[in-house]
Amino acid sequence: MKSPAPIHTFPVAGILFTLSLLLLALSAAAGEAADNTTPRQAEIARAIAPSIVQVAYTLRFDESDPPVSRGWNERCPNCGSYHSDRVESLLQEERPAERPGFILSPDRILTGHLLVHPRFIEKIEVRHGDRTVTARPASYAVEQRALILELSEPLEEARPLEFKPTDNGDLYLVTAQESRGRWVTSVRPIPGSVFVRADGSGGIAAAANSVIVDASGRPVGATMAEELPADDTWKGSPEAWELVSAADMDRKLERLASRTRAQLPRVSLRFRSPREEPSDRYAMARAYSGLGRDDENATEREAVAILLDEGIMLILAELSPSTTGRLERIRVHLPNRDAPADAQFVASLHAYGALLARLDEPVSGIGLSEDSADLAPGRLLLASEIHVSGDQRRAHHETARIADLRKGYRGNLLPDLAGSSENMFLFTPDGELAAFPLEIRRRSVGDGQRRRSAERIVAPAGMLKALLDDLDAHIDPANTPVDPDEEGRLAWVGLEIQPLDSGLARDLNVAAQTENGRTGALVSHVYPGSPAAEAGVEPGDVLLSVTADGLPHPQAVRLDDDSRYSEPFPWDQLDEIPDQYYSYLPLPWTSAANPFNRFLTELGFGSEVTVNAVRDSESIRHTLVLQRGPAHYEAASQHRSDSLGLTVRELTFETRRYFQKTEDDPGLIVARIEPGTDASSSGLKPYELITHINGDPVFTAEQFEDGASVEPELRLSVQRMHQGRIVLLQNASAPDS
Amino acid sequence: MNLRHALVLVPALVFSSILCPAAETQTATEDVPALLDFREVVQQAREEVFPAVVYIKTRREALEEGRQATAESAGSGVIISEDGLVLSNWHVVERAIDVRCLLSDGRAMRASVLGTDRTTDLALLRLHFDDGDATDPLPTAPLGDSTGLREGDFVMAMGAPWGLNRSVTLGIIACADRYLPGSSEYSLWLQTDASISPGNSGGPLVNSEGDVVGINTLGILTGGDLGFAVPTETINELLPRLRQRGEVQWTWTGLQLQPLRDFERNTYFDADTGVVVADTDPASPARAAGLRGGDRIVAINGRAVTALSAEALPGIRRHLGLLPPDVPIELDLVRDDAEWTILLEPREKGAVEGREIALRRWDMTVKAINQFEAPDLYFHQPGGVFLYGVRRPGNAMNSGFRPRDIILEIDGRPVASLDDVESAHESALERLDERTRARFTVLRNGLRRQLVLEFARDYDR
Repeated sequence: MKSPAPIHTFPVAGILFTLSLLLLALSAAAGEAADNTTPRQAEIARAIAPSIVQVAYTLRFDESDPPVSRGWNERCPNCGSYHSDRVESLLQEERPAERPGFILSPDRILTGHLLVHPRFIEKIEVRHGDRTVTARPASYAVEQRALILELSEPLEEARPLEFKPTDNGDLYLVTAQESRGRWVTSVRPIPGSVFVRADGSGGIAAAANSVIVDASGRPVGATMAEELPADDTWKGSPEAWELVSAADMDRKLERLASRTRAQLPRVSLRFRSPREEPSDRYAMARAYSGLGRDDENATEREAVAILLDEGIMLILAELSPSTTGRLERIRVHLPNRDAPADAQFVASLHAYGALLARLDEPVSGIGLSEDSADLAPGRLLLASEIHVSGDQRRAHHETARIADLRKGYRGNLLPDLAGSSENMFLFTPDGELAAFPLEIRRRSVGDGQRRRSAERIVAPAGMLKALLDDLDAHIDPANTPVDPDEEGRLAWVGLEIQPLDSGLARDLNVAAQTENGRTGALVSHVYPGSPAAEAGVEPGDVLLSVTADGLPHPQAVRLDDDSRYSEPFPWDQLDEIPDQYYSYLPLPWTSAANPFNRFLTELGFGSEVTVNAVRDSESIRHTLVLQRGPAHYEAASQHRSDSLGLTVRELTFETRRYFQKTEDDPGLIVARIEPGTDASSSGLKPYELITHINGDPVFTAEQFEDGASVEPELRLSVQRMHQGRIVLLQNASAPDS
Repeated sequence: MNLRHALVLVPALVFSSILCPAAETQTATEDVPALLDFREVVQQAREEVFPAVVYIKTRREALEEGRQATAESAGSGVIISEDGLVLSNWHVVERAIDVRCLLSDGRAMRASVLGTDRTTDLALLRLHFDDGDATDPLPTAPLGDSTGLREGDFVMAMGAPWGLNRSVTLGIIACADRYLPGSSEYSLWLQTDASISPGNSGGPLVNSEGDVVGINTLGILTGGDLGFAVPTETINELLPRLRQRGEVQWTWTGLQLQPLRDFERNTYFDADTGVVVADTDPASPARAAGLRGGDRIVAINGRAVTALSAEALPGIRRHLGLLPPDVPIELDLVRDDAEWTILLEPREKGAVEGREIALRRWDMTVKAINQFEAPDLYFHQPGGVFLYGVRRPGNAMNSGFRPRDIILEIDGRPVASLDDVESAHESALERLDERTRARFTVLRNGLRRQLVLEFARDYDR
């Protein structure tokens, strides 16, 4: 073959050759780079696997209490949603809760701190390969949500993680999870996302229960939280974390138990018996609806109190004004005493369901945590769960950590326990009170149909301190014990109101503001000289809603329309009703204790309320100061005569109106007739009026009592509407008879 | 008690029937022959009176159901005079538009109502003679004297029970002086176990002599011996007035009376004569005259009066009620052991029932409040109008109106009488195209309430 022309070929070939070499090198490099990602993570996973164990907590009931868990939900690093084993399903399926653990040494395991009281834990086991070893808590991390377990036997085949903080760029998060019966180690690079908060702090999103490794699989640090700080403070061995040994923790819990016995005692509240209410429609509706958690007619209440300094204590019980009105005695059950100590009522709190009392003898109170940083999410705390029921006070003490802090009531930062938090008191490891359970008072109208929903929060100690510092601003002067004859008074504004219906709402042009007549009330009468009269309320005004201090938002006025279903009082058939049915007779008049007046009473005497109303299609506002009203029928002075078998009550504003009696007219209402007594045989019926005794007009219950105690024979002038008659009663209890 | 509803069960009566005031038992000197002739006695009495019994059917206005309607009523009567006077009950012929009578001999004659008295449940009718009927004389039954009756005497109730137009039932006098609380204003009752039921109301109660001793009125079917008749003692006193004036024209004093002894109520006054004033009606002649509860009246116009038990009260009340109006009565009374004499001028009592009207399209019947008929409503609103009945289904019922609501205002205008309601109703009907609702203010259970009556729907279509 002849040789080609040798002019350009050599440089072109050279360039081409270099180019191709370059390409090859690049592709090789690229190929190598492609191999570096997924196989790298898989490698790490495989490398770390021997250092990962499964921790299994077998749970049980403690006597008859089911286990209570807090903060068990964990975010899955792969799919980002919360997976959780609900405690109930674990018990029902008779399998343990399983969490990953990391081997720090042959007999020490790092795992997430599962917040459940030891009394519910049957056993803790650690599984590695086919070996299963029992374990128990050895130490608790203070800042991290972590627990170090001690194994009963070392795991020789285990490869402990040796943590070396490095600066090598790429970091990976390694965690393990049970999925379809197998434990899956997942590895992902971090940071996946970085976040910065308004206050400048920030971090890297991570996942709980994970170890952070570098690109070569060497452990750099571990985290039990969902974020890593943006700096390097997290790097290093968990053994270097601030730890409290389990033994120390047990000692702290014991000390806490004895301290709380003295400083969070059980308190018994005793109330006067309420007066029996006639069977009016509202009372029956309330009885059937099982209103409210606190029975308004209770005569006993047990609660927990927080003992503060100088004998002052905060009793955690939400009492409505009508219940507090009957408060008779506060007894505090302190340990090592023969008899409970007495305390005196000081004040009720306005916004919260609690009241202050003072012990007759001062005892030392609990210390309050001053540092709000004590309540950092994840930080190790002590908790007491205290239940009082009947004569028992049961307390359980355990370690605790809060899951989060959230802005809540009135802007306070409230700890979130991510689980049941009723009756939970939180303490610093030194035993200072950091948070306590508190109920927010909620007031609403229309208590006939709905349960009042209680809002319970875990209040930081800072709130208590703020309260004590400015007590006057927080107490409710209208919520106090009252004398028996002041009991049961309603806040009276002097209005008679009726509920609306759709037809009336349309006719009055208020259908839009009253949900087509479902809410709202029409004023049918204004008592002269009353607060409403002075505020300018007129008959025909349509009341829409009420705003007041202590109400977060306007409350719609709501009256249940019971008159649709009630029968007129059977005046003409009274003679035919047998006496054992007297107690079933309805009230002839409409009771003054309607939901609207009850609601106003809850707001408290002295409160200023604004009523939003409509008059002739125009919006108007009335401002009223609620007063303690004159007695109404249910709270009227009465005299009960067991020997005669009858109870009489004085006339009150609404009964005077019904019976058309002026202030100068005599009359006492027969409130009750006992079947089979002299009063019953004489033909007296409930709701008749006794106007004269032996010719003398009677106005007060006291006059009746005086007359009934002396005269051997009582000649009563009795009125039933317009019909009158004379009734003669032989008085067995009079001295001469 | 409402006399029209003869089947009302009143438990108190069950007890009171046992407690009839004790009466002397009649010595049965004629026992044996009387029993042998018993059937003859009965037959003879029957033959004397039976022909005079008439079966009455009326067509009357029935406004209770909230609309203008008519209903049929049936009952019995007895011819008491040859010129065609018939005695019956008020509730058989009240509000009658048309009255027809069937005589025992088969003659059917129309009748008109001459006079009635609601309180004693009596009515007087006159038969109309068409020319063709003038020939045969009318059978009549003589009115006897009921004062001689004693418990155990045989009586027969005649009439047309349940519309079957010829029956006689036999029984005895269970009680000759029965006091029924609520229905014994001016008269006591004869109580018998002869079967009295709707239909033989108005028929005669006849004794073994063949005299009419009462007019059957009330029957309570679940009690065997609970049939009641108005005694002729009362009827004979009132008949002249019914005949001449068309009504009794009772006068009213406003006195509420109470007996000296009340076993039921264990109330015994320390006196043997007189009758106790329990109370006086407001705005009444008695109250204006100064009478008070506790006063004991011992004589009326010089004649001594005593009520030892409740059975004496109707007679006293009847006596007072028949006295002429505006003529002073002299009452001798004892008050706190002192004797007084008070002059009292009774007033005309007037109607004991309010007028009623049915309101079309509003689907309700309203009635004037009458002091005697609805005292509990009168208490709250003397002189006014109340809702008597609603139509079911109907506009008033759907709008939440209930019977016995007292109507105070319609669309802001006060209502003081039936005329006010009528004019409001008429103007509402005239403006039906513009507006189909009206705002009412009513008094219910003593409280004012507002209600909107929507009458867009016409329930007569």
